[in-house]
Amino acid sequence: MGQRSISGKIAIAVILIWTLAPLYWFLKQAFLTPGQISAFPPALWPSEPQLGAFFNIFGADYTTQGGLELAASGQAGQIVRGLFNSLIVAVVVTVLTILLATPLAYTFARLDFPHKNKLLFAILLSVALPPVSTLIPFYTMFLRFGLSGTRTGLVLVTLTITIPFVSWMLIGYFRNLPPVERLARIDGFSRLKAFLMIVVPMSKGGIAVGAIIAFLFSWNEYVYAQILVNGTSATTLPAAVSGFLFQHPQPQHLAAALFVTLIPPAVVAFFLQRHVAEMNLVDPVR
Amino acid sequence: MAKIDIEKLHKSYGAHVAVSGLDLELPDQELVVLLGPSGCGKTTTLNCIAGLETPTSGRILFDGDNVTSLPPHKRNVAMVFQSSMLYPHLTARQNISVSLRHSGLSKDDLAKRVAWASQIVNADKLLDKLPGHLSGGERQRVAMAKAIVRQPAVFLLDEPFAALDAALRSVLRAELVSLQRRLTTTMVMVTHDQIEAMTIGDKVAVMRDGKVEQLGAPSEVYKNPRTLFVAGFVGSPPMNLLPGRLSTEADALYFEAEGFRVPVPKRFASVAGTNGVTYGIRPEHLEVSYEEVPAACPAKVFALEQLGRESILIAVDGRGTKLTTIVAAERTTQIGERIWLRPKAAECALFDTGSERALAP
Repeated sequence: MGQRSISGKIAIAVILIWTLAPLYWFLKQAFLTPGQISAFPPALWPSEPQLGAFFNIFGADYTTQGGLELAASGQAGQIVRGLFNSLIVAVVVTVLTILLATPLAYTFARLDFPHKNKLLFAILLSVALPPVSTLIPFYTMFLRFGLSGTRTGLVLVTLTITIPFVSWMLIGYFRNLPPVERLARIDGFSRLKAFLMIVVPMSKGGIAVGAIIAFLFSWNEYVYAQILVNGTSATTLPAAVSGFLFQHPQPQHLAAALFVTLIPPAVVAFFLQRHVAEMNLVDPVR
Repeated sequence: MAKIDIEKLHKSYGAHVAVSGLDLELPDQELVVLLGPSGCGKTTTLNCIAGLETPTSGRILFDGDNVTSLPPHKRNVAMVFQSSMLYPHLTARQNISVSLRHSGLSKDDLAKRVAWASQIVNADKLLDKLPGHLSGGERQRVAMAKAIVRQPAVFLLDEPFAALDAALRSVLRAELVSLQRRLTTTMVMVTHDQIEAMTIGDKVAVMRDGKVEQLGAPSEVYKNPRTLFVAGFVGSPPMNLLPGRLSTEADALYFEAEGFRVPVPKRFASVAGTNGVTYGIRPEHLEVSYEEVPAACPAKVFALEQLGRESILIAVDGRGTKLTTIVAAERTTQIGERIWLRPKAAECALFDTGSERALAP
């Protein structure tokens, strides 16, 4: 990377402030009491930060050092359940997406078969489809099948978006691999073994990026969750968090819940970002 | 070590015919180069020998055994691919070892074989590196070791020097020839670079449109091209080709084109009646004269390319045909200067313009 120029540093600083300042402004409320939140002018930095809101959203009362009683949130049950459900749904979606999209993308990228271009277009179309347009059809269908208000239903719906999207991305990635399959056939690998033992290991980077995309998409998914599972035992975290907006607004609880929502994607991105940085879509091998 | 016979090989992809009725005998322990422009079917032919492609029809025999339907790893072949392709996620050692996965060797024997093969090409210090950390030349060595380790009967090389710089190419060419001599194995290499083909091959098979135009030693192909295509493709700069006709005068045979008449050697007497003849003369057999001389083609200087040791003079004759000749490096000339180009009559080749075939002898 080398030395950055002054103007480069300024640009990075501007971008960081631009994206992080609003987030900070909201999230700092998690460490304030309701009284401090309503104070004017608002403090730039919490003067007596405390973790009360975090206890509250998980269902515990909290007494500050100043002796202020902060009561547990009525939404706590939903938050705990939402966190658990979100993790399960995101992990299942990520695993299924990678298991299905990797061979699918490889087939489209490296093999020839009848009607390939039409099917490819179908994948693109399902990427382009706005989720809102399928919301009501899915809802009525899931009511019939007894899938509304279940994690299974949410996983199925999310897969209809992540599989085409990740496939589309991986098709480009696999296309740019050198023709190692010919080398593999000389070495006596069958087509399946060449895929499993050569292509998949050498494509770890691209597949990892696909996994991040699927995880983040599932974790952040809000529209379907709001309609299909909110208020049920299958609710996810984004849907549950939105509950704070509607009943008895408690900004510090909303901020604390959002804070919790941000942690898993940050952890995933931290561990897989090496692959993202290494991935070069034009020349995947270098 | 094996002799390869290709009989009536035919390969088409839908309507596109890549190889059409190719017959080729590749002698044991020789390095044969398949040479031709892109799309001539040379790589398809190589892939059929390797077993990567199934011929539409025809047979391929190794030492008389029909291998046409065998998969690649049962043919006892090894192949080096374009730009010396290796598995990018495996170290050089792993890359070489993979070649032996069907050999059934014990771990110790396998390690010994890998060490043996990498020593032959001086790749033993590279074994723990990933291909991405190797230079073009080093990658080439590892790819060679990967092929050698199998001790194959037939070595196939698909444009192994493509995408390497010129200096490295010439070093690796020499290494390949020396390696082939040491291993005494049959090698088949594909290239579109005629200089590479001429310098490397024991034999060169010039291909065009899915057929072999000529198979022979490089010097033979250079001296006696059997078709107009071979004459124009092999040699740098290429042979000059002038369309015209033959005429007889007082028992002597002449080639005539507009404003130009040269005697033709007696050995062509039997073909004097041919209609439409193309006269071929190598650039080194055209003498430049700055005054009018008999039996010379009048032309104007078009360009002078200085190569240091010599220069290539490109002239253009009255009909706009470009003629190239080689002149001494000290020679300077003006663009547009009038010159006369006189062929060394004995060195000429004659082709039937219609059939594009060389005329006797």
